[in-house]
Amino acid sequence: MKITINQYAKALYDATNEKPQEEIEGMISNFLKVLKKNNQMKLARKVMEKFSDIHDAKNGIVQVEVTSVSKLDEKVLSKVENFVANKYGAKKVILKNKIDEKIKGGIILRVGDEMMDSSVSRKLEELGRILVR
Amino acid sequence: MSKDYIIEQLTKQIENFEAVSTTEKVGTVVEVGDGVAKISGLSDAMASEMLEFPGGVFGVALNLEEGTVGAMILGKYEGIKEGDSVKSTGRILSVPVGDMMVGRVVNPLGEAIDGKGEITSDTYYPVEKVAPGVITRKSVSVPVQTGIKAIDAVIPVGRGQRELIIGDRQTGKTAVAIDAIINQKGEDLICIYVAIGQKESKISRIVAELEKHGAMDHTIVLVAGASDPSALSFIAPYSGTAMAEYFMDKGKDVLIIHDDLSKHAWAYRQISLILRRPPGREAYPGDIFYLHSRLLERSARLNDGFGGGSITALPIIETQAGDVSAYIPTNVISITDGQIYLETDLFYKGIRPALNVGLSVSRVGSAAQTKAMKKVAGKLRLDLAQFRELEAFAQFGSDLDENTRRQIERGRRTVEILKQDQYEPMPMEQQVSVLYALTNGFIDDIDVEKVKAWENDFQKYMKSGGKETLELIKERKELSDEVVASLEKAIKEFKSVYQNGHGK
Repeated sequence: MKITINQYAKALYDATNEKPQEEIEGMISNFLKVLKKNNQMKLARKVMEKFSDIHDAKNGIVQVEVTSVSKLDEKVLSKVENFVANKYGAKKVILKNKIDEKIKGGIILRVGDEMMDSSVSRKLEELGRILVR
Repeated sequence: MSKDYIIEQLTKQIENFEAVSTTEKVGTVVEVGDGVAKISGLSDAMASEMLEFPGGVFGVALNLEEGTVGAMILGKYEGIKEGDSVKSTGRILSVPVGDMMVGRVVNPLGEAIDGKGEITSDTYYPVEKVAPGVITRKSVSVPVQTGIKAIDAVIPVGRGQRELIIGDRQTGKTAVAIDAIINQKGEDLICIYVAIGQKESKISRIVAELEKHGAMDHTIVLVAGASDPSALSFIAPYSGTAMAEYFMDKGKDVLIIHDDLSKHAWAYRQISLILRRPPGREAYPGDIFYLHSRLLERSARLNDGFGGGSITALPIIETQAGDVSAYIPTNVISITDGQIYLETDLFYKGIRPALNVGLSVSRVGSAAQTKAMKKVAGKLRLDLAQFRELEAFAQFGSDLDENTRRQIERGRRTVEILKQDQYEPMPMEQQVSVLYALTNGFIDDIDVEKVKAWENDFQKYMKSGGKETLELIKERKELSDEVVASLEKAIKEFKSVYQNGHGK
């Protein structure tokens, strides 16, 4: 059976969880050997991404992408941070500020698959839909 | 209305407008082509959940894989590009249903396409639904009168039955179905005509014809045209059945026509191949049988405890060069409760409807036939069977003994009587009276070429002079001594008048 990226990442996380540094080094080289043996080295990058997702989820770290028209100041960002931390019960929130002028105003928060859209462009779209009716 | 009023209303609406921002599940399009999109993310999407693409186009999640979702797009997919965000709606694919659908032309999503205004409904039925179970069902006992003599007599269809109409192109498959719809005028059957991958010109001709005969008042026409995406062709029969189920749940009887399921199978094959599902025989996917069996299983007769409604299905299959042993025809033949087999040869011989009575069967319909019809039909079937056996000898003409000759002559007249023009369905009592005259030898002394004319005059006479007899058959629905006496008297009366008048 083919081993999926998800399974690799999960195995790697379980193996390395709460282990001292020296042990981890050996494990990683062994892990890469397994990947090579299975001719799946091309998956390495994706396994890394998945591993960081799993690690974040287990340790209560949430990554948020904040989209806005201009760069947000510290005050707003810390507010967002608090909001997200409360909503997802996260211990740590990593913020990424993305600039997109097309949204016209407001902000869009994106956590994993979930999106909270309170941009001006979406509101205008919705208003348009109501007025057409 | 003044200008100020409009402006005031507008400002009011805008002032009151409040856009609430809610959390939505989104994914991103990673691949799009030929009406199918691959979407990353959307980890919580359900099977056959509706997804919203930008621009208000909907899609349906079909393949749920690790990390990605394969979805077919219901509508225009030209504007969708890689990187677009796709929202999940949390709703299983469903269509609006209700009484206001009757008389309308709609697309497979239940949106009006006849220009007679929007259809609004607060009742939605899921497009895919599990068929009624064993305890809710009842065997067929009430007939569907198609108005076609050959069908009502020899291959009767009961309410809740699935009767396949099969034949090559241009053999009159659709004509049979349309006649059946027209004959329901003034009856209690609601008809749904589902056009799958049909030419728009053909559909508009059918709608015009139905309107002309006043049959749109009890009919829904559901259209997935040849130029619509195949995703729409794929869901069309299911959404048609969903609309029918609404009426069945209300205890009403519905007749649904799927025209045709070959094109439905093609549409599904296309979607499956683009979704990279493994192809099997004739490149159809592995679940092609289930595709049709789950659809036709939903046509059922419910027992009185569950409302007593029914859905009768008349699926149509187009064969290539009369090949009924191809993949899709054999599948659908095995699912349905019988088939009406139409042949090109017969069609060009002038026998229309071009019904092959030998190959056509109805496995359960005879239970639903009225007693009167059963009585004449039994004899008719025997006459036809004997005629077919002896037909080869017919060429030898004079060398035959009296008995054989008589059977051949009777057979020729039977074939003649079973011919019927399009858009001229005939009520049960008229069918019974003419078939009674035929099977009891009242037509044997008429020339074969004149049988058609004789029948026309006979029908005209029955509608005026024999009105009471017709009423009697309609009311009793059986050939009791009294009815037979009245019928024979009417036939003899007509014959004396007719034959004197025509100098035969």
